[in-house]
Amino acid sequence: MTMKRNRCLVPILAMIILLIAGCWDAKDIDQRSFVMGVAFDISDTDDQLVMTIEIPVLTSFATQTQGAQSAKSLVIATTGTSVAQMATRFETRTWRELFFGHTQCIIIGEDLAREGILPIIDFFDRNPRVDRRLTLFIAQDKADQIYHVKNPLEALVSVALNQMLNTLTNTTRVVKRNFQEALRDLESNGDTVLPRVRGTDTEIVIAGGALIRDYKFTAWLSENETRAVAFLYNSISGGVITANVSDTIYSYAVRNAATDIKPVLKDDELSFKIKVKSEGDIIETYHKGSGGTTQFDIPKIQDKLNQIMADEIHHLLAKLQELHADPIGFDRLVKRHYPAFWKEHAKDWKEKVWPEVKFEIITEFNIRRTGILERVTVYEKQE
Amino acid sequence: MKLAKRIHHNIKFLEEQFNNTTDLVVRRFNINLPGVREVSAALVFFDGLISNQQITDAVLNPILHEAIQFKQPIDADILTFIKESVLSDAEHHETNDADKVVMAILMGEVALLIDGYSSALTLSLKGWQHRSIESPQSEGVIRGPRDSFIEAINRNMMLIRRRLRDPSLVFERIQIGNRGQNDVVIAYIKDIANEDLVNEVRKRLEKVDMDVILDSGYLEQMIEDDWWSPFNTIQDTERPDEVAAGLVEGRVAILVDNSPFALLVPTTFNAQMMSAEDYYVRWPAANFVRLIRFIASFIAFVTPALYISLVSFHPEMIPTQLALSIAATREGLPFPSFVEALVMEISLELLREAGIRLPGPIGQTIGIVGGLIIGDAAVSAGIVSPIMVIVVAMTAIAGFIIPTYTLSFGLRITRFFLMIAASFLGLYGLSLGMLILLGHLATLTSFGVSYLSPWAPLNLRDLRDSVIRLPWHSLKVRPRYTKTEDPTRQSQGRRKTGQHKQSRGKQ
Repeated sequence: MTMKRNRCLVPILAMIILLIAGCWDAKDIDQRSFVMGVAFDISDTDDQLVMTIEIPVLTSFATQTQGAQSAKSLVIATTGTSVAQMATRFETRTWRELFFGHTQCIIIGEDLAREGILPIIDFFDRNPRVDRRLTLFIAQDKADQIYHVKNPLEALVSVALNQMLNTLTNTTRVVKRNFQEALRDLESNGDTVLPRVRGTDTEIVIAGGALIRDYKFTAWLSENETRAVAFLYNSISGGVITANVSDTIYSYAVRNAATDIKPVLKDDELSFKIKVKSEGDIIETYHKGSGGTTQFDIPKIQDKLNQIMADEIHHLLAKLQELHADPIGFDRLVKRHYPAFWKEHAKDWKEKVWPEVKFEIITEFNIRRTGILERVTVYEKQE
Repeated sequence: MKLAKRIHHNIKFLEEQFNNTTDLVVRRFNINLPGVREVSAALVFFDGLISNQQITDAVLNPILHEAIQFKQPIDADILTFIKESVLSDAEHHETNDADKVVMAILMGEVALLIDGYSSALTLSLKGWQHRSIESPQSEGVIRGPRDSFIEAINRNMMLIRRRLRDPSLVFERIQIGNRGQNDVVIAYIKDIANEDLVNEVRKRLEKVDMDVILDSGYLEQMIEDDWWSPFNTIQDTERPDEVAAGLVEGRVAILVDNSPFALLVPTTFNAQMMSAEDYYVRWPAANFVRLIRFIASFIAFVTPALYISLVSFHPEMIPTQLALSIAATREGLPFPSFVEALVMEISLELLREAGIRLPGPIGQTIGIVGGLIIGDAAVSAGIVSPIMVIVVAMTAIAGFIIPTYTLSFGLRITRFFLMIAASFLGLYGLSLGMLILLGHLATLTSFGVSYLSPWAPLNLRDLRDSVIRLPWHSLKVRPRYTKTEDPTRQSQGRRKTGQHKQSRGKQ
């Protein structure tokens, strides 16, 4: 008898539990505002933060026929003293709940980044719904202007930005660093390199990098310096390096590249052995004046490429040492390989040890293909 | 009770037994044999259950026209003489038990009563109208036999016997139903089927206490292991080849008179995901189709729930572009996604049900009307989103791929359960619901065999014929779950690869 009554009770109890406690985070997809991109700046007039968000106008995505007339996105801004405060303030502008699950990029203005990016990213780091593949950008000048760029090709600036960065295969001048990777760098020693974004009236440009030291924006890195960073980050997926050998410009397209960094501790003297290996093709020879060349001296071009990249990396590392910044994470390697040494020097790593470290850089560029040009003479390397 | 000597007592008794029903025919006539005095006799039978032609040919003609032309006087008594020398029918019995006569008449036999004898002859002259054998309605195949069971149990037994000319094939006939006295036949192959299984079937059938068995569905529900479950633990089929295949696997079939569906026990979830065609086409094709079918069964009962949980709980799990277009199509819809899904799924079920009930020529229009309403009007009226139409269409199509209609019923019902779970707790609820479902399936048994066999408990050998089907020469043994008495079905030893090629080369 009691068994029978229990049988009826179980589903009823289950329903009550579900109805009372369940559904608290159920909100249909059309009742959320997809925040595709966020930008943060410091207000010009007072010390407050400015948060700008880009929201797609959903109706314009419903059918293809409506076309170009209607605006595809809405860019709105609010001010406040913390990110969460500003995010809730948007509730007075739109009835839909702000939803960061599809946020593509977070752009932080130069001035704000100089004061520190930690309080900005904290909000996003805590939210489990945030897609860790989004990109953190540092904008040259103001961040919000990026979202006001009118690009007829792209419906949403933030989607375009993220796509641009992720599909880049032919340039080495940008560091691909998504939120997850940047957070890993930052949480380890507070340093990283983030991509730089710059907006003009009609276009957006991603090029170069922003060096972050102790969660603060410290210096811009030029495009060539960024390339060296990309090699050290092991995040090269293509791109062209040009080498000038006897008045002919050879374009070397990177097919793959791998960098191996090893710390070496000898007589209490720390140095790093950096080995860069790359394979690629010659995709163009550019000879000024008439003639052009069909002659390849592959070893010579390789030597030139090796020299170029070694110089670039040397130059970058010198700059980083000068700025006392370690975005590549050499400290992690030391910690892993020489824990005893690290224990001794952990406190003054950035200030004292890191700027004095020596490097040995070995670059090994290999040209595999030279195209299908006819009448090509290839000189063998002469011993 | 015994029969009386006088014929008019007996006729009166029978008429009272049948309450003077109008379809009872009493044909009186006189037997006038040479050398014996004339006696009155009667045939008692039900109109329509017997063949008039046979009565004339086998009974009336011999008695009334041929026997009176005998020159010599007969020396035996009339009943014996008629039984042994006059009647030309195939089967008859003599009885003096009045109840037996009543039963025989009910079964469609003819009772011959002769005045002065307290026993009657019951003649088997059954001949009623039945449907001819047609192709199966619910289990069609492209490749393979096209006959299906009909309502006449004798024909059904014939359809099985023609496939299995094995003296070990046994048909046990019993009558179930206090009033209906319906014929039920237990079919099995004596040296393959497990004896305990056959006994269990017999035992359960004997316990059935109903007044009438109108279809095998009655019996199925009375003898199944778990009446609570939305899943059936007894398989039904209208294909004689499916039954024959089941019998050689060591299963037991139950045929019910007046039902074109035979029951097969034991059955498993796996067994019901198989179509007869899987064994007729070559194994690569069979494997491909089975894979599709298992995916389809998953789609059929998970998709709407998945849609609800993704759209209302976890939009971050949808790829960005798709999320944007889903959100855009849902823009301005009046209902939350659960209600939207429920409305669409229910209208799908309405269409399905209407399609079955409507008479043939009108049935086709329901497709057009339903397609227009669901596919077009509902979307352009802004009641549902086009994505939802796709979801519903997917579940409908996938649902029809499941080969056993009864099983797809179970999945159809649980789909709503999952939808509710998903609407409360999102993906968490969906996973919980599926866990509950899995747990439930694992507790089910069919005549002692676990429903999830061969996956749980894992039976590696039976896995050869589950999601995959190995080539026939690798399926040398019968499935293990039936605990068969004779495990091998092909003589052991390897088939040499290429042996057919070689023999062709020699010619």
